[in-house]
Amino acid sequence: MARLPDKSSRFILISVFVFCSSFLFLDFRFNTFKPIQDFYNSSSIFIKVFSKQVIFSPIYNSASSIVNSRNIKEENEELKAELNYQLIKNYIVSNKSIVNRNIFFGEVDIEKINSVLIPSKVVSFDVNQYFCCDKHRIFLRPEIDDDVNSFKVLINSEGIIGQTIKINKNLFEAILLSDKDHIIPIQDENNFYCEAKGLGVPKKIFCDIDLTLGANSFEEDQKFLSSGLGGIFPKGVEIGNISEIKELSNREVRLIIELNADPLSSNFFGVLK
Amino acid sequence: MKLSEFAYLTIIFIVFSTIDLKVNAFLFDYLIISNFTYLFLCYLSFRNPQKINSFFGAYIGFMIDLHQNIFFGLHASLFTLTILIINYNYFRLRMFSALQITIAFSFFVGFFVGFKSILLATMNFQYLVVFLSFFFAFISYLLIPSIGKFLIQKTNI
Repeated sequence: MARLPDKSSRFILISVFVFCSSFLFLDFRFNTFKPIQDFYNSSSIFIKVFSKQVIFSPIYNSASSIVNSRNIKEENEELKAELNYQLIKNYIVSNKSIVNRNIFFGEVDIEKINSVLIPSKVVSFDVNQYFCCDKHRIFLRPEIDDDVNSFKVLINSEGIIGQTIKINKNLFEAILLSDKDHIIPIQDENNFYCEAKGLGVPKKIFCDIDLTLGANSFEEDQKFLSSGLGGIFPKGVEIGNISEIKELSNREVRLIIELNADPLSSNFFGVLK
Repeated sequence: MKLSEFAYLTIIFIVFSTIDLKVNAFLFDYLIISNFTYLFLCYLSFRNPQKINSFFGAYIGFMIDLHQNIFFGLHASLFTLTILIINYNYFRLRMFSALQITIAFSFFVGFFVGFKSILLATMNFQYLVVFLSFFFAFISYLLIPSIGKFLIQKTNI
């Protein structure tokens, strides 16, 4: 007789096996234990269904709704960016002169908008400073792998916003037309030229006019265009309208021009190469 | 055996049984039946025959029969028979090398698969299934001791 590793008797070992085998025989021959298996199956199915409906489904639904909402948000952002890009393109198409960089350069083919436009997105814009103070700057990031050099024109779907200052490959600063340190040469429709400085107030620039130089009449809502002098901005692009005429002295008036383009209208801009 | 260890081992065996069911769904086309549950029982029974006795084998067998919804007592009978054989030949098996143990347990699996196939798929019994399952069990048992050690490292089994 073989020696067993523990003290349990052979009788127990064999009797348990016989007991189990008899269960197997009864179930195989007569389906004796089918009610037990049916009860176990129905209970396990009930627990599965109950736990799925009451515990897992709500958790899964809430988790998937978070993921879905995130996806929808990302998709919305992409669509918004694409829409803004298209709006900028539309603006260029309807203002073809903007791609003709200035009076010193030749005309650029309007069909090649993508080759002259670098889409860019706002990285940082201190809105408080924009509303309170003189310094109106935006930091942007080009959306495509292309260098943005200094002295390039920044536009959005409403018009010219400012010009660029290169920082590095992935980042550049834009000085807005309304920044007090910015100057843009402009002209009216009667070919009166002046240099408009930023007023340090959102969407406002101004020209100080010496009335002794020539008899010019100005009125509110009079349109001003870029003159193309200075070599940065294109010629003939509408900049804004006179919102206020201030008399500084008997010989001098200040024209305050409200700009067409609002930098707060979107986070998406275009840089003209 | 403590009640917590008992519950823990029950859960492990049910998990192994579920894994077997899932793996078999993939291996069915290759005429292989995986038996991680059975090999794990063999491993435990050989490691600690005092605690993994025939009562435990019967209990786990009945649980798996319920879980797999097959003849009540099939696994219980085969598990108790396996434990009985391991107990009867414990000291012989102790002298075996790891490779010999693996081959021995693979033979057990061959018998287990064959017996199950005769009862559960009488009309479609194939010797090739037994033969291939033997080889699959041989490969599987190379992993079972490591997995078993990891799973029961915090118990006194």
